[in-house]
Amino acid sequence: MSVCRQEDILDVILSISDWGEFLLSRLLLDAVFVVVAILLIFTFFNRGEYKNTPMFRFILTAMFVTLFSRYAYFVISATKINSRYLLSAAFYVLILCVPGFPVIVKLVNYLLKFIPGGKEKILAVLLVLGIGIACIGKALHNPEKKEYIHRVAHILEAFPAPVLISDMEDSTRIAWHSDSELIPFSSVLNIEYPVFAGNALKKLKSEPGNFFLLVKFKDTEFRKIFTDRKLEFPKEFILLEEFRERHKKFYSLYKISL
Amino acid sequence: MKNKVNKTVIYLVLIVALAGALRVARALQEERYSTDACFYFRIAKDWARYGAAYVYLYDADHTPPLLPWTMALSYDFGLTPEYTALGLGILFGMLMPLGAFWIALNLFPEPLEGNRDFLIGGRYAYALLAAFLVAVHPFFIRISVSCLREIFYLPLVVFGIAFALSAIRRKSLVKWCFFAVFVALANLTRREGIVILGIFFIWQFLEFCVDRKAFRKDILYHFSSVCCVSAVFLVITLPVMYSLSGMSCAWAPLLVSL
Repeated sequence: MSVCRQEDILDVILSISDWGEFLLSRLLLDAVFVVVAILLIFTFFNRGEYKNTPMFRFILTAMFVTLFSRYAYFVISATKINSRYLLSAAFYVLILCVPGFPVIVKLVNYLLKFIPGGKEKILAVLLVLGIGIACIGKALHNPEKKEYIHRVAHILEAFPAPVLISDMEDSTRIAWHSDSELIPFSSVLNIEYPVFAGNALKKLKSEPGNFFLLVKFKDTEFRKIFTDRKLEFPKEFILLEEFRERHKKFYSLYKISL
Repeated sequence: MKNKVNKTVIYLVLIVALAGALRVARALQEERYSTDACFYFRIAKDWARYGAAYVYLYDADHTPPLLPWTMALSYDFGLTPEYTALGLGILFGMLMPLGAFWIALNLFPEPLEGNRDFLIGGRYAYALLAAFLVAVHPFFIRISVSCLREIFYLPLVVFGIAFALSAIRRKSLVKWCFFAVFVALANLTRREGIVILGIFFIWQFLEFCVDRKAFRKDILYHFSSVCCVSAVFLVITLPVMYSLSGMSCAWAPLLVSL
């Protein structure tokens, strides 16, 4: 869906299939949330609640313009789409799905005819509770991800004036959590590691601080990058710990002993 | 009627309290901040130490200034950017259901015939349900404690839209001015805030197309609202643009960098 060429931009923005892909994507459903999406479906049967007022036209305009502008932005800037960018559009959907609630109450009420009188109100309360529990369960479910960030930060904290050197996106978080200075560098297809090691080690010798290198490899893989280029692995790099995360991802932390 | 309003206020207070409790519960679960949040903390720290000019030397994305500036300001009060962002995120997250309540109140203004019972239908029921959904929506809860720009942006959008709907319904120029204040602040938080200003102009055009006779009748009101919104927006954003103009910051609130 992402393009960079200017001449393709209008084609993609106006492409019905790409729009379909965007609207039916997991991202939009993630932002809207499945409970709200279900309410929205039932809202169709209660669409008489929407009066053709200027206020209603304003909300509709807001929803469509927000969706269109976000989509156009993603296409033109070739940005990685994140569902949090769609939350303002999700808010409009949430407001518009409200009339779906009485329809669900009536439907459930119809299906449970055998329950004695006063049931409609009880059902409504139960449904509100159900929606609440489903939403709160999702909101407070916090699976542990990237445990190594915590562990690396903990190791760094033990040293005075730590300096973290890394090309990883997570290094910003680790540096903040461990109160370290961060020296970011970019590695291109791993070929720059040996170059970096050669240049950096010379410069770091004159700098104060405890230096650490964090890479997204197993120790053996990282060493192989050097040996493949017939270079000696720097003896200054002392492995502190190797971290294994989910999906067989490995990270290695080295202390640079100068 | 008065009794019903009192009951609605009690429900609304409970919903706001629930929103606050859920956000605090989520905040207690969070052990680490996201990469973007850590980047904003760093910006805020450097902003407080060295000023905005230094920050915009390395901030390639040219982050709009409201969030970093607010977090930098927290150092003057002996607070850290994390706790400031968390506190404000929870506070604004608690206020969002009120905005949703107001929007739904203006969007579904007519009480339902013969069915005014709470939770089953009716004007206040829809408004309360909208507030409840915003209070328990998992992604709004998560984003409230994320320390990202959305902690400001989403509530500003919600209250901007709420003022807009109220202004449309009451034909109030003062409320259009408040709408412009929220849009301008949203634009100082995230660049796409300017899209809401676009929504306003598109809606004006839509109203002209839908009912030309009524539009011509209220032409003075429509013209005045456009002037008020544009003037207030510029009064708030132009000084900020001017103050940042001497820096390397390429951020320009009036230009959507698509």
